[in-house]
Amino acid sequence: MKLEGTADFRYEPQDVWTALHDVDILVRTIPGCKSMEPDDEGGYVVAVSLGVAAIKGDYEGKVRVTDVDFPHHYVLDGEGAGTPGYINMKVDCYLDTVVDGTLMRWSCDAEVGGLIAGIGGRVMTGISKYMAKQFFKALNDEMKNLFEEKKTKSAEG
Amino acid sequence: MKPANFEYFRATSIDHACELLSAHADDAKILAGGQSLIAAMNYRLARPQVLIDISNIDNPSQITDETDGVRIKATTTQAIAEHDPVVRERLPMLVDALEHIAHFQIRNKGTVGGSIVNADPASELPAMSLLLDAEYEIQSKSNRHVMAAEDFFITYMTTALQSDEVLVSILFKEPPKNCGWALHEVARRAGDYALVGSAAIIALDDGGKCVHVRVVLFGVASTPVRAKAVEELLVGQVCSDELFEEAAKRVSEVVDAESDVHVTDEYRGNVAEVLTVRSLVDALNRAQTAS
Repeated sequence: MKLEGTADFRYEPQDVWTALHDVDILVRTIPGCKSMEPDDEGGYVVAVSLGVAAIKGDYEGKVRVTDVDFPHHYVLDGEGAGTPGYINMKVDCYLDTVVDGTLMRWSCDAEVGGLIAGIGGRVMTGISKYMAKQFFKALNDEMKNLFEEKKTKSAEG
Repeated sequence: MKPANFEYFRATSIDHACELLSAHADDAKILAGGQSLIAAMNYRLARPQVLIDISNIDNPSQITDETDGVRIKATTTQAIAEHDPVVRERLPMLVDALEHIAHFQIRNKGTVGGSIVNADPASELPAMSLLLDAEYEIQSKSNRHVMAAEDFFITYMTTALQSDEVLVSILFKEPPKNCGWALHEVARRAGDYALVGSAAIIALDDGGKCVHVRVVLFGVASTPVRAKAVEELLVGQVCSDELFEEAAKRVSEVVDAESDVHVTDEYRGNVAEVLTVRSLVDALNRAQTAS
């Protein structure tokens, strides 16, 4: 299954990069994320609990960031499994500077197995798009807090 | 066919339903009117291990007249909503849509909330929710929140409702006074799911310019869709058949139809455009007569 999309941010690529690699922010923004702990191989162990019908259940997996070209490009490698099935995915992420901030382009190549593989491509695509939308909306809110608070503080200081 | 085995609980209140749901969330389904779920279970397309029946919850005030619009409890049957004097007075377009749902025997059991949560992309009430800027009141054991219908539908039969949540009520907002509206469907037989459906609302100012417009399509994508691109072309304009035809060309932007055993995706696209024009023309006529 292939998916792709874009997301707009009102911040510089460096700032977007920082937010996208901040574990605390990710735990709060990834839909259903319960925890994210570093493992011994430079990656993270992630626990996610999803409530949307068809894919609901608890998942545990590993993610790792590779092919890093700060702050323009990285690849997110992930694998996870839970009661409803398993998923292996590779997400290619590009951050481009645009007039009013950053445009993120992402494309995801995912392999899905187990019960969730029976759902059908169109439904999976719909659910994935919905989750991506939720994630980027939450991330934008987090960045607003992170950077605008900082600005207010430095203005006061 | 008979359903696979399941456990049955009868909830006595929404709170009770939430308790039960929180205990069985991953395996449970809410049963309301059962007009889709039971059929799906009998065909074994759905195999919930637990059913939580909310159809017997005592609902003294099922339909309430509010400032913004009309609030309908999710467990209200479609037939009760259809014949309710407040709904008929303030939301005649909803009555029209309710009359298009299957047949009256089904509407006597089927609920307003059930049809919405089931989220069949060809069904009327999810589409009417978008047309009437509806807000859904959602409850779980630990939380209660309101979600706009616009954010609710994810894809075929899938909504943002989490596995421990219940839809409690729906607030259908009343469109501007003196608006016109119309709903058109193409279905193989009366009472069938629409192959394509379209609904529109238009309100005019004193000069005859369009001040409020909603265009919604159903049966043409994995969720009902609001054709905002069409609306944008109409706001502030003096409407005419030519303008409607021009605007309806933008319907193709929101149509993402699949071919199925009934019709091709191309047919759906064409019919969506034609029905959009018809809905807009009829809505305009009604608006002009009203004002």
